[in-house]
Amino acid sequence: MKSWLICIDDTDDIGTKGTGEIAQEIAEILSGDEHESCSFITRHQLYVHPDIPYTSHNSAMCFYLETNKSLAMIEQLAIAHLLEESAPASDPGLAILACDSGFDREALIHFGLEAKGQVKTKQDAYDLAMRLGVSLSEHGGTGQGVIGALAGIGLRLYGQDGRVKGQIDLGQELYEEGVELTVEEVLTRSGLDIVVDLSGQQLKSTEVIHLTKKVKAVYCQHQFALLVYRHEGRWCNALKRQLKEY
Amino acid sequence: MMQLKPWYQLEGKVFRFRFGTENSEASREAAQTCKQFSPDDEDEQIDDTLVSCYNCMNRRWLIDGVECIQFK
Repeated sequence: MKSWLICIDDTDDIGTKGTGEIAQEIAEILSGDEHESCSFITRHQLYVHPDIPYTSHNSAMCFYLETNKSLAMIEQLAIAHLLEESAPASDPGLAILACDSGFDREALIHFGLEAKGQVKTKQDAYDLAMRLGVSLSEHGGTGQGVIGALAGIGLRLYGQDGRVKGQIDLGQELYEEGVELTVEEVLTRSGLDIVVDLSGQQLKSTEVIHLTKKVKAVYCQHQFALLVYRHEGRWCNALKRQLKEY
Repeated sequence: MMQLKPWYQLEGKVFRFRFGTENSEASREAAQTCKQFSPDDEDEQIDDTLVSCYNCMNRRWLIDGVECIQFK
């Protein structure tokens, strides 16, 4: 069983299926056999600038995969799905990193962080991918998505960036007043790794969290985390504006 | 477009939100008056109140703000 990081970018357009949903479908296709598995998907915000042809938000979607499939098979399945599902006006990119390949981790992280604050080019992305042995490919339009796809892998490796795709359902939306669960219960039921406050401090397993409405997770300290804040004397799940930092 | 005038201004070809990226109250007020509001993917929403320009599939983030692209 080998481990991989896979990231896609720029697959959607206004009103079409989102990149996150396509990433989820690819993850399911690639982890469908026995003993194969994939992680939560993380969404990584990239730079918005007039010189970057993004649709509305410029974010990449990344996931970790454990599979017996070969690189060639992973590429074939992922590309087929991208071609099938990407919006006609999109510029999809796909990056695949073998986690055991002895790659230059810092170089990838550096590229990811730079892509959050400056304009990178396709050539930058291809040059780095070639040097590090990352599979990087484009699948329509201008192919600009290769930049975000490679950057997304770097940001996932960074371990302190990204919101988790989708919502965490702990039954909180069944009740107007929400639910109260201990940290241990939250982690057991959600599959998340840690609960952290806005300063990054981890909460003890016995602490009680008051959960209401939409519950989202983030990727920090290289783990999937529920972000909480102190409100009226109790711990509450973070608001969207607090999650925005990720 | 006229209905959004109190919240947006035309800057060249950009129909820019006047209140920046952190004013949820104004963003919600504008979206309440807009017949074209349509929520973006949940993963792309940043306001806890659904009907908000910040959550709309027709908004486009800029370096220093947000624009509405429904009139382009």
